[in-house]
Amino acid sequence: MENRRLEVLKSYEILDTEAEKEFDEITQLASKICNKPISVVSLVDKDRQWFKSKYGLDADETPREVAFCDHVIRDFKLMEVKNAAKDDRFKNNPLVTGDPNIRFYAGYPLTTTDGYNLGTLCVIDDKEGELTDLQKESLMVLANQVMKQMELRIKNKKLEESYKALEKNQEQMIKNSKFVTMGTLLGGIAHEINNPLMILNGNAQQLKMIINKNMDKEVLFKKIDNISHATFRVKDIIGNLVSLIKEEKIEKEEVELNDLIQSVINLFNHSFKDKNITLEYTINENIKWNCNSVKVKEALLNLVKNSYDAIKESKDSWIKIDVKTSNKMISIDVTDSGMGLDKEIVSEIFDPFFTTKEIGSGCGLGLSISRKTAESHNGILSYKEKNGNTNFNLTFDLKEE
Amino acid sequence: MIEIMIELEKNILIVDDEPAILEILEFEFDFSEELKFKNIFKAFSGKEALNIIQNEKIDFIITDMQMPNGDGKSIIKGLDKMKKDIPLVIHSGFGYCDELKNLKYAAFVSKPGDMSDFFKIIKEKLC
Repeated sequence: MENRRLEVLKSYEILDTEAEKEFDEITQLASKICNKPISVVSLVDKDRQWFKSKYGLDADETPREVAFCDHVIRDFKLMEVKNAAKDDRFKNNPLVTGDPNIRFYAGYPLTTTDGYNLGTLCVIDDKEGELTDLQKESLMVLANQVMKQMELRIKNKKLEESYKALEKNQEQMIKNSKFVTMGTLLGGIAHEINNPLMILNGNAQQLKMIINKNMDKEVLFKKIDNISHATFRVKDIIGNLVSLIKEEKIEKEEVELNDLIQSVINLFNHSFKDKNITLEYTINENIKWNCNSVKVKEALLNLVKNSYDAIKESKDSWIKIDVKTSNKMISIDVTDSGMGLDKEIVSEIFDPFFTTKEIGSGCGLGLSISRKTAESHNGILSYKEKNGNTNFNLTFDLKEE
Repeated sequence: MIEIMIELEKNILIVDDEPAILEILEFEFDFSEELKFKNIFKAFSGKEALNIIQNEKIDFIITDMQMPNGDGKSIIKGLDKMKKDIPLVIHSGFGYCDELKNLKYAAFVSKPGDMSDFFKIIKEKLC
């Protein structure tokens, strides 16, 4: 029983912690109400009593064998000692015969909901005395409040811990989702780079032969054109890669909206070609926009990737990106040949971790990340069915923030 | 050492969706001083390639893997269906992957490949 009690006490993770206002206010109030100079919240540990809060007393703890409170916790009711010098249990106690010369003591046990007495809330005086009924009742109420504070405190602590763990988890998931996106793109990128490399190397080798054999200038020029064209292709791909993996902390910068969208489209060119997906992109007027381009690209990429995943195995697939700009707003519509989402899931699609994709192919963060990006840019991300097709819209408000 | 040009009475088919790559390979075979094919056929897709295989006498194939309108795999499967045993080299930028494990082909050359890789296999298979 005592061992279990000590375990329970330990589980409150309160022993040897700093003083806390919540407890100090209670001891102060207890002292005032009972009109006694000292009040403490004492927790009875294995070999000592330790004071979580003390009013009018300097000690942090005393040995358990001299503790009045140790007597209180053996029962579930108030223990009142009117004059300790005349009480057989305490008259030889060093706390009575010496400092702080206890005469009066009244303590109420701190009882957990499952019936363990962890310590007391008590008031102490160096003069003999007695409590009125109202004071006794108040001490009981305050002792219950101490216990509630202890419960609250540990619950908060646990909550904070799990919140932190959750936050860390979510960070990891976001990181992972980025890797998934990167992974799918990387295959395409390897192919996209190896082809121009082959063109570079092949043409360069053949230049030698052309010169050796004194072949037509035309042929020579064609080869040189092929080479410079291939280098530009590689440059584009690397540019896209760099902007994709740039650190997220980048502040807002002014970008051309058309460039931003084009760079996202370029990342999919190979995949689209591969699956015979038609991409249509329209923009009414290109504008310069002050935004976190990495985040916005990621948001748009998520939308296009979702469309791609949804329609890649269907026939006559298409994706339309329609951008409308004015001096007040930017509206980006991503519509695909899919037949719209199931009505039951529409309310859930923006929830973190909601996904309809197979295990391993998406962790369900894309839309929630995209929506967060929209919100951080004074915008909204919304879904609707448009003429029977799946449509996501990003609208950004351009008025001064 | 004097290299003797091998003149093959054979036809090669090169498949790639990238015109610049077809152009390079064609140029190499056209002007090679090591070996010469009788005819060089070109196709931009698996579909086109299978069409040529059906109508022409093809003795050697070099094909890209990822292409719209029929990938390299579709050519290998098509050959199998037609019961044609033509040596085929996979020429791909993706690197070797498990997907290739169960396919029948003569060799895998990763892009960017070296022409000597092709010549070696051709000599091995056709000479």
